[in-house]
Amino acid sequence: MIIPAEKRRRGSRLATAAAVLLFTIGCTATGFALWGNPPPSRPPASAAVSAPSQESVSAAPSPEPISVPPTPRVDRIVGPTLTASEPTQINVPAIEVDSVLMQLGQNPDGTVQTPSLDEASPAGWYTGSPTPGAIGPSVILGHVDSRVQGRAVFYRLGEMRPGDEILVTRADATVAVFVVDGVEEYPKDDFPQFAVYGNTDHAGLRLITCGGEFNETTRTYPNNVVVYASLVSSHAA
Amino acid sequence: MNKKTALWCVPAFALGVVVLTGGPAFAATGDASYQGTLDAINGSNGSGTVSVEVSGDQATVTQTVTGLAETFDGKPYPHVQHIHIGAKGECPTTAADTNGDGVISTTEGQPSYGEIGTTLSTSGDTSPAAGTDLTLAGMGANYDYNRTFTLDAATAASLEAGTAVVVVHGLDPATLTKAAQDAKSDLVPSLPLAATSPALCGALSESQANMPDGGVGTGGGSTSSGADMGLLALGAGALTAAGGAVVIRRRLIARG
Repeated sequence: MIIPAEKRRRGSRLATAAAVLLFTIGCTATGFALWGNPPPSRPPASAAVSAPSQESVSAAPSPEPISVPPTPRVDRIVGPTLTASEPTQINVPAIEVDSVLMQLGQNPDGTVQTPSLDEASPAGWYTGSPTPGAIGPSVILGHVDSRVQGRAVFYRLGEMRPGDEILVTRADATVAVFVVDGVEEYPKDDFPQFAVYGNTDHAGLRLITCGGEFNETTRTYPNNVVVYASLVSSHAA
Repeated sequence: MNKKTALWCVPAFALGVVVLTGGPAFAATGDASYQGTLDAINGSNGSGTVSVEVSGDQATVTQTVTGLAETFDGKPYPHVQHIHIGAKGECPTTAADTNGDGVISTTEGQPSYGEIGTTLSTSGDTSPAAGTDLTLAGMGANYDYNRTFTLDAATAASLEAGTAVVVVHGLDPATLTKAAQDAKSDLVPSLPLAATSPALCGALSESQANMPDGGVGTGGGSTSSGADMGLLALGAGALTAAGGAVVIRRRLIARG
């Protein structure tokens, strides 16, 4: 095929322009790809506090006195509580999280279900735990990252510090306001079930995600980051 | 989350709601879950946790114990352990030490936690009859106990009533007064008082959360290297295409 010189020159210029443009896009994308997603932050040892004990997590006085039950098993209730209502949305201003909440049960092996890893999944409420605002340890899980798409909903959970607010909107159109008591990182194979899921004397909330150095062989993280929080107030959504 | 991925989420989210909704397992089925923290009594310095999952007439007890007396006559110390039932559902205070020997004996604690309802034996009989069989006891300073057995009606009723208490027995005699060291057991006179006296006690209460096993699998690893694999692929693709454009340009120039 014979191509006229004028067309060849135009073609050459177009090819040059295309090469430059594609090279720029390629470098920019690769650059962002390589340096745009630093590994998720982890709670510093200094910021980690012990799991709230039965007595230490008093956040705010009860609006009205609650009679002390006769047996110690039904512990004195500390702080406000709300009647049960399923959560629909979580908002964590400190780490720019604003996610609808899906519902998660248990896997057949007894571990807690997690959202799909292949999608940019929302966070989820563990339905075996109390609804946020009710007495006990309400549990909300979210991925730190996905398998391929980068940051996930709880990517920055390890940055949270005591005093940060967590807002959970519930189906009854109330917003339960929690304040962080502490942030801990635990090995998954030595997970303190009673500290995280055990009975509490207050309306508690635990946000959980993955942490530690990712194991490329097993494709898993060795640790979990757990944020402990207590209900301090509520308002209309 | 950008708009596109948000849209992709919708089917997965909807599916999640349909498939994953479980609800507290014990609420729907009538099954129940109980838990307790085992605290040191009589200065044992031990600690532990215990949970009891009831499903129909079957109970699964999962217990972890640390820091108890380690050896007895040169062998692993046998710690007999029970679910006590039918009293106040409390652990005794030092006020229960009515004979003032510095040890709350099993008998002295009974007004608080009651009689044995179930023996948490390592095999065979779980009735009160196995209560002082040292061969079926938890052994040593630290142990995990996990057993499923048929729950008797009295213990089941006490669990429901909130009066069930787990008691682990067996003290290190060296921690007791001389008089208490020499005293005989109130339960089995052939044994020393230390062997059968309470070392850990924990009242069982209904679990607020249905406790899942282990940690939580909440990461795919795509940010672990600091790299975004999707964006990296796009970048690599663009660079390859740029290389292709250069080749085309060279060919066009070569023809000219």
